[in-house]
Amino acid sequence: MSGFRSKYAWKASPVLVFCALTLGLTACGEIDQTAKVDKIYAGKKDSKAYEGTKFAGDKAKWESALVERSKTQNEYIRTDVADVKKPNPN
Amino acid sequence: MARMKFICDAERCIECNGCVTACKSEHEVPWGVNRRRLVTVNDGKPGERSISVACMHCTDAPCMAVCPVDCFYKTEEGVVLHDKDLCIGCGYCFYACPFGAPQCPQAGAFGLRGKMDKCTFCAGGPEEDHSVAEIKKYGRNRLAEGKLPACAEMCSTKALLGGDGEVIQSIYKQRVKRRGKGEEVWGWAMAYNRKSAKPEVKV
Amino acid sequence: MTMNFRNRWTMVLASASATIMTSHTIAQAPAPAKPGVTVTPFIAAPVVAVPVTEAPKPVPVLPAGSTAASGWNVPPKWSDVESTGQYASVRGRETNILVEDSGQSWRGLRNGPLTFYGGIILLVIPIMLLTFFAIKGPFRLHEKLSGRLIERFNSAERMVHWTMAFSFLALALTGIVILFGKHILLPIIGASAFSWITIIGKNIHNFVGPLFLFSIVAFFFLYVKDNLLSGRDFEWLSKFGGLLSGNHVPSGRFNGGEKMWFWLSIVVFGLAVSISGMLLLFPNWNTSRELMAQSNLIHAGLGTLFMALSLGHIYIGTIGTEGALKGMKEGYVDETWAKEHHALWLEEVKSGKRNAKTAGVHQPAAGDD
Repeated sequence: MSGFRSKYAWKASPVLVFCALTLGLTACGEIDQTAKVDKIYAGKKDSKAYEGTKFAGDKAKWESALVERSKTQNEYIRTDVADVKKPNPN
Repeated sequence: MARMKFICDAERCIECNGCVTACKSEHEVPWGVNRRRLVTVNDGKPGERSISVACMHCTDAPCMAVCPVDCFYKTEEGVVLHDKDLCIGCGYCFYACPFGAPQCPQAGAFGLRGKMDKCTFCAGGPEEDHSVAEIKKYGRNRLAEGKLPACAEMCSTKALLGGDGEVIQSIYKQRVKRRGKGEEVWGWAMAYNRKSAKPEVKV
Repeated sequence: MTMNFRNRWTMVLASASATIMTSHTIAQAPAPAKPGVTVTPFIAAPVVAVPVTEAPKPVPVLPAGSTAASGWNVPPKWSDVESTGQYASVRGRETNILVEDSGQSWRGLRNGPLTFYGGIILLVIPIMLLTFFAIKGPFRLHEKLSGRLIERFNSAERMVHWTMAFSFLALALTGIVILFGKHILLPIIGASAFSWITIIGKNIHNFVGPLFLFSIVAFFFLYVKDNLLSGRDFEWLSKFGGLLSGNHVPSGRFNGGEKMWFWLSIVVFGLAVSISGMLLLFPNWNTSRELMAQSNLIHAGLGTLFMALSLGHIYIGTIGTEGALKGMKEGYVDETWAKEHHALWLEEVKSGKRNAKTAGVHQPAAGDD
């Protein structure tokens, strides 16, 4: 009986090893970083940031305003380093 | 436009807590809540670095995933916001967030949680822009005014940068070139252990 | 898995996190004090010699490919930064922890297997019970009612049982709304209505929770004496209460199944759900996020199992057994019922071993409806 069992265990072992390795490989996968669709937001609808009174729905104007504003965070502009262009005064 | 991002340059952060204060005064956040805080690594030891932490506006936000009432949403610019009218104050977002960004003010005895409050990237919430309700619940909506988050704009050393990811990246890239170090922050050499040589350092 | 999560946080933190890894030299290793040099303190205070306990750390080695300047400022490892508390000038619980990644595993387990398998269990068990009921029907009494009633549960026992039962139902329903509501109820009734239901539900859950805890403690002390396991109960359990053979195994006041349910529900589930629930209920205790997330897993996981198994108890106690609900509602059972379900208990009562006061004979008086 034991001989019978060990014989089959021996035959099955490559299969088991293969299965274990395949299973192990799944750990190498990268986790999807995009939000899953299972979430539903059905609360109040928020208006877009550029839909307010100041930009009146002009998305391009709003974007350029923000970009210009972001650039002011670069203090090299203020110290007038040669390789930095002067900001566009907004 | 790319998505909105924060970068904190730990080489420059002097732990002045200006961003924390700017945020608190701009939004009059509830008592006990700090939308932004500073963490100092290796305090008092060689290699000390300070970093300003707030909501990172994750792409796959854990707070959003665990919310039992689905009160979170994401704007076009990648800002994670929530509806306080739907929030039940269960604190699950607080368990899930790795940065400790969502916080519930104490709303009653025994530490009863109130409506969650977190960094809005100065983008308000789902109320009419600049309305009293929006200011009371979420603070000022600077983004709708064409302004950037108060914390980043107030930063005295410009360690904390905020805004359009592409612009922020270019500013930081320039800075790294100038000082010749800290390339890892935007270049991911450290994160991915890149084998490349030093970057060209030109001024 | 953990590795992946960590990786992901590193990416999410984007530049901000990576900044910490940046390095340049700001501090040199302190020059060793020269022997024989006396240092005059500025303040004339007793100078206490502070023994140097920390051995100087070796200068860290830069990873290959790094552009950082060598020296002390070699990046601290991510694992070191996130697992250890740092300094934070904003005081508060865990404000000094930069990255707490336990929430990610909590999210994975709660939103994944817990919701999925929990939901399946809660659907499958009632279907099984109803199928059983449809096929076999309730356990009926074989003989006619005698008309003689025996007190099975006194008023205190009944009160505690029903306090526990109703608070359990309230907790179960509101708990189901919190865990599964957004998948079932939210798409139907909409966000505003669902939010209101959940807010009310959360408050019911919070306030009924302690009541449930008190009721299980009281229940334990009232019922434990008759629920101590004996050899007879193992016989009952091994024969499955005579369900398969059809021969009812005689039992005392409580049979093996009831005793198992007592120990499982009151002691195992009751204790686990109560302790984890208390940890979640009081955020003003100095509980860490990790502990709260773990408590939530225990609370929701065992709570779901508790609900599923209690459906079995509710089935047996109501539609599954003729006359069982009446016993708990009114406290009295018919002698025939006692003989068929709890023969040894009936013997004890009749022989006077058990307090005879509990046995009463109901005599319908004239004009009594």
